[in-house]
Amino acid sequence: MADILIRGVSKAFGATPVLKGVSLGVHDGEFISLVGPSGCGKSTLLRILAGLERQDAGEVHMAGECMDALAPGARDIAMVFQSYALYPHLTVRENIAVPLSVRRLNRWQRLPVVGGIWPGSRAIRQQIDDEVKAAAGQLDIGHLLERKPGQLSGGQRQRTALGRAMVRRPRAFLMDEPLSNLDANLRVQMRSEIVALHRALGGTFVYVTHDQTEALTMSTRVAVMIDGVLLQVASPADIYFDPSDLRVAEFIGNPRINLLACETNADGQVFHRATSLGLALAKPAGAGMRVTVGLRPEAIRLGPWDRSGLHGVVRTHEHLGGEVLVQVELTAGAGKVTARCDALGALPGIGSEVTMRFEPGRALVFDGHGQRLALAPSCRA
Amino acid sequence: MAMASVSHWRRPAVLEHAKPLWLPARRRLRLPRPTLAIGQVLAAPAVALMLLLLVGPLAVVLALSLTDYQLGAETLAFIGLDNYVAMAGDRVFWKSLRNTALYSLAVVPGSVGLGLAAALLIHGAARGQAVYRAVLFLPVMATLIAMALVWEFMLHPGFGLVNLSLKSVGLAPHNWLNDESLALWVLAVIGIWQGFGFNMVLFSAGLLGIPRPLYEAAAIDGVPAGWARFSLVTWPMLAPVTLFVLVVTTIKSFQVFDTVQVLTKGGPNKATEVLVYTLYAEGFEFFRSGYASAVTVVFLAIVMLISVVKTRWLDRRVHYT
Repeated sequence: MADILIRGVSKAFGATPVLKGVSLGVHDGEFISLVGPSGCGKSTLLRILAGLERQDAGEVHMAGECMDALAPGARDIAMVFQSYALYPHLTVRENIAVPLSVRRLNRWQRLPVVGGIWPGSRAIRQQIDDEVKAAAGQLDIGHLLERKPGQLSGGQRQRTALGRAMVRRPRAFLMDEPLSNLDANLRVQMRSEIVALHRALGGTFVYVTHDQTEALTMSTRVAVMIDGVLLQVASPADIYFDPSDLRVAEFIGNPRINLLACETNADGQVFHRATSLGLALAKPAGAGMRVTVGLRPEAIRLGPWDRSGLHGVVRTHEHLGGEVLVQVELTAGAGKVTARCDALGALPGIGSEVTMRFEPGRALVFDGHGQRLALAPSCRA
Repeated sequence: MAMASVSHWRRPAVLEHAKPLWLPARRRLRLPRPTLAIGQVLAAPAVALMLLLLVGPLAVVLALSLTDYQLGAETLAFIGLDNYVAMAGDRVFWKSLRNTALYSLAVVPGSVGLGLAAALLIHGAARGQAVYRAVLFLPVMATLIAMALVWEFMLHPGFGLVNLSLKSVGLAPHNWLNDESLALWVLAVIGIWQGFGFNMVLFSAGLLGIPRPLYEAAAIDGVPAGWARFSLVTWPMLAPVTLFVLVVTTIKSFQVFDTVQVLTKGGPNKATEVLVYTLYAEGFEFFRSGYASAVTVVFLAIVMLISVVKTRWLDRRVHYT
């Protein structure tokens, strides 16, 4: 079906470049998330895929076919908007039926009165109505068919928009922040429903979001986009544990990754203010090279004061239920570090001096340009 | 310690009697006396102004319509519904009512349709939107009396621009304002010309208010551009504006007076006699204030009927919640 291929797509609004040569391949049946901070160009890329925006350079292919000259309606895609974009004067039934009636009924058959008696229209209308009911049933809005969007809750509107998208069985579903207008509980619920829908329909989903939790929980692959550039496209686990760029590591993960400014010696050993971190680069690049070491909060273990290692003083506890975020101020004024600890385990008291330890394999080292550096084999887990 | 924390959570005394103001309408709103009094005092100026400027004059007109008062007279007598009975038998009144209705039937669709068409064209224009809008809005801003004089020159049977133009392309000239079968329609054309710019501005605002994702959803759903997209998105989304425009234009067309007064004085042979002109003539030319008041009451009743139809019936069909 829909292998989507985006090749070197660029777009500028006036003098502001929004997309800078983005290339991305989406496999058939894949659920891919485009995630990034607001203004990074992810929505623009989606709108170019949909045909709502023309790219300045580059190509979009679907199933081997170039899409660039095709109008949105001819691309056989469906889109779900953040604002749902339901037609307010039409009932749920009529809203869901629009993509079908436009395609299957001719101009005369669509007319309100004439359409009813026009030859052939009754059978087609019946068919459309059956499909609308089936889609609505699948989304659990079968009992709302006669309501208008104004009489629906946010979640119900969202389902109606999904119904309008899936009723046509398009080859690709494009979703532009579809859950951002819902409250937190509903968002969690809709998340799993959209995933279930993806499994049931088997279509290709391209999902734009600024919410990393949505991206990580829903997708088969996540594409992280920052400042109009795709930095990394990988599985949710790889994006989190194995980011290729410092900006990806910083954007993904909550609480944020801890960053330590470090230097290397001639052997590629990594030091933070003269304290060795027990890390070595695979390819030493000379003494005094500045690197950044990233440590996820759960990679850090806090222990009693010890001569070797990084030292700090516990400043705050932040209880999240099952776990506690412990903030440690590094001695020698080198910044703060957050560690994620088990709430049931032993917690260092506030004000106590601690030593931080971590598995070398869980440390992420980046060079001065934010590119990930490989560690020596001895450091890998 | 525990006691202290409990008392801490009690609502402060001041808030205890502050009932919410948005109780359902049916339930009696019981406000403490001081609050009620303050409310009344605060509302008093507005109420006084409304009584003085709106309700008062209306009551006076209503009362006058039941008398034989003549402008400037020192006495007046109560004559019951005699004025209304006379009106029912007055050929001029019926002619005037009929003319007003015909005028409205021409001006309302004309200026609403033209206003919408102009708004759509300007909305679709790549550039110069502000210029077009300003040009088409000019007739609205111009004083209608002055403009009526310009029209009088243009429509002059001898040297008017309209007839000269017709003659130059070989068409027959007309005596536009003195032809019984034409005069009312000429006034209607002037009415449309004068009013559609206002409607265009309202429609333009309405068009700007239509969310773009609706058009994008329509494009993705495969709805072809042009008529299909207009009837699926634009027209239904403009419905509230259209309703407002229709009501305002209808009421304004019922009030037509300036052009009649300047151009035809209700003639020829009462062919352009309209309601407001009739009540003006009765009241200020024939000084029959009682009778003019009765015409006014009928006029107000019609205008009020239009407003009631708007709020009671149409509002529900154009707001989709």
